[in-house]
Amino acid sequence: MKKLTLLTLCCGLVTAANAYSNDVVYQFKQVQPRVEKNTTQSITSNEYWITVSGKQLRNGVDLPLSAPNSFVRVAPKITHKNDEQPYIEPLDVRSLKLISVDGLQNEEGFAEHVFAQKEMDDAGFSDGSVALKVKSNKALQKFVLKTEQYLDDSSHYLVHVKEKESNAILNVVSVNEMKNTSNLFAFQSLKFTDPSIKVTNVSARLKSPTNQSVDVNVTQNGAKFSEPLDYVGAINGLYELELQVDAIQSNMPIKRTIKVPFVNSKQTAKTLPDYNFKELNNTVSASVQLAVNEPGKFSIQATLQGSDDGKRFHNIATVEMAKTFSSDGKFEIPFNVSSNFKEYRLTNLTLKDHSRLLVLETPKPQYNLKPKLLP
Amino acid sequence: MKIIKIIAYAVMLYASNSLFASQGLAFIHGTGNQTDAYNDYWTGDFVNSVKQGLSNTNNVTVINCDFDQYMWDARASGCLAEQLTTFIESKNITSLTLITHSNGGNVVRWILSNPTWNSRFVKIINTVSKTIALAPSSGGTPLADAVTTGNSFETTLGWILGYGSDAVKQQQVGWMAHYNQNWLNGTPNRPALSSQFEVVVGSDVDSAIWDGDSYCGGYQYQVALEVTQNWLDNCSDGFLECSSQSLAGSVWFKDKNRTRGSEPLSHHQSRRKCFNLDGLLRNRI
Repeated sequence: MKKLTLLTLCCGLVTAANAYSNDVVYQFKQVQPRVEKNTTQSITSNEYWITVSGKQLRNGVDLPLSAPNSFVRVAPKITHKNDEQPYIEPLDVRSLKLISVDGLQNEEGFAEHVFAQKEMDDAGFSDGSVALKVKSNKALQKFVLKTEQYLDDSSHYLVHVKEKESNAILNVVSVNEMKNTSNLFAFQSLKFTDPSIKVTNVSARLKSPTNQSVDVNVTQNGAKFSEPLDYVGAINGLYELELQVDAIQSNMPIKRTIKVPFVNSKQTAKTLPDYNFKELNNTVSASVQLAVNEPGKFSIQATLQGSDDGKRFHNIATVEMAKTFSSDGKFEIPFNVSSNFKEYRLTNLTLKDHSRLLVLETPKPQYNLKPKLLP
Repeated sequence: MKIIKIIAYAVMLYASNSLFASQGLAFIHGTGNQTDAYNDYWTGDFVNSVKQGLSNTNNVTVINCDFDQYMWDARASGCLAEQLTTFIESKNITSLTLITHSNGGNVVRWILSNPTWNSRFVKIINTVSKTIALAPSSGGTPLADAVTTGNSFETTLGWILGYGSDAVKQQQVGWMAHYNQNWLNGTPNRPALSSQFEVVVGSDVDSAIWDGDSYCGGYQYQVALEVTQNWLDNCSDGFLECSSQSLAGSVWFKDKNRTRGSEPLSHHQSRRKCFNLDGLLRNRI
């Protein structure tokens, strides 16, 4: 009889292990708090960057600055002289001149430090960068950056201005994900933290994880794309909307660039709100139906609550479970419990798409619960 | 009878494991594809000094993974999980302390925050008792933004960030905000991590040529980090702002409050035997 009991126990353990052998289950040590989805983001910028040609740099490029100690980095953009070897047109920092609107040059003291390629290379900027740190006591200034070095007309350079002491801070508040069915990425606001700085022009380009080329039209409501975005999720990175913003303060120009990351999301699966519960010894198994629109691996996290009177529900445990689905199916979520209740329900349910790195469902403010206990 | 014997052996095996159960220590590097992190990333001086805090100094592993990938990639957190699992099982580790540097803290947080992402994660979560995160890039860095700006030549900052890698993109400030909001725990308004995540914050870079402290870990790195500080605010270790380092978990200490001579720890020095950092860690593990 003892043998039989032991055998039964062993078989029971093996069966339980097999039941979840393809699934990953984790029961948290403590009940997890309710975390609702944050759908907005707030991003700031105190910098800008522009791409200029060698010809433009020889002729002079307008460089508005809004703070002392601005840092100006000029980096050759990679070009291909032939199919294999990338070619970088080297820069000579001594040939770079920073000229004020009054015609004064950096010999007059506008560049506090110059950083030649060797110094920038030692600092890790091994892309042929050179840099100037601008010495100026005035908050708003307009300079022209030019070089006396011969540069090929068609070569391209990145001019990146970082103004970490500037009060001209651009702030964009936007959504952080876009529904795949929409072509509009919505802004809640796009403005400078100093209200005396007025935005005069905004242009945008989209950087796609798949290098999809899409035209962007900026409107008051946000950025509208010329075609639907082809890549869903974030497993290969985020989309970035790069905004070039021109503004004016006291008749002096201010420039800012800002990158706004977001996810192109899609409801690849959704849970159905009819849950079933089964009790077996110290385990309560909660069954949650999943309607699958795109095959993949999904995880569900939920907190089990129990009640003896159908009114007061007590938190019991939080479990996360992951499983691969090729079509509609269900999660059988095993909760280890120390005591049983007459009635159970699930709360704080979160559904994630592991295959595409998407958060599909998070607890809603008013969650519709339909408890049901099977014999 | 056979069944009873099998069960008896199982009980004995469990008991022997429990008897020799012990504490382990793992060093987890930052961004980059490491093949010899013991020598190239941490140095033997540092590792061998810190591990003296263990009762069994053999229970140490130095991780070598490809952290040029996104933290969720099998070559990053998957590789880390595989190496930690092998270490835990081979040494019967029941209490594991992790020492991470820089982006290594994010890869560990990925594991601690997403228990079902990989079947190995559960065991690791249940074994890790504490993470000591040296200068973690929890909130990203403006330098990652700088190097991916304008599609410039993306080998920039290779020595510190890796070469135009997914890990660099991941550590942009806006991207880390996204991951912290949706996938990582331990930051404000998110669930706590399942175990302690203690942070050491580096707050400044000394590069004065006359100051001997500038030479700890290599003077050239100190000068380099002075250049990168042009992208960062006044409290930074030359790569990460203090606010980013302290975003997740709890701050154990800010460098100057505990280091010998109240010296700051640059981003390079926070993985070197500088200003008694190794001694502080040795007494903490």
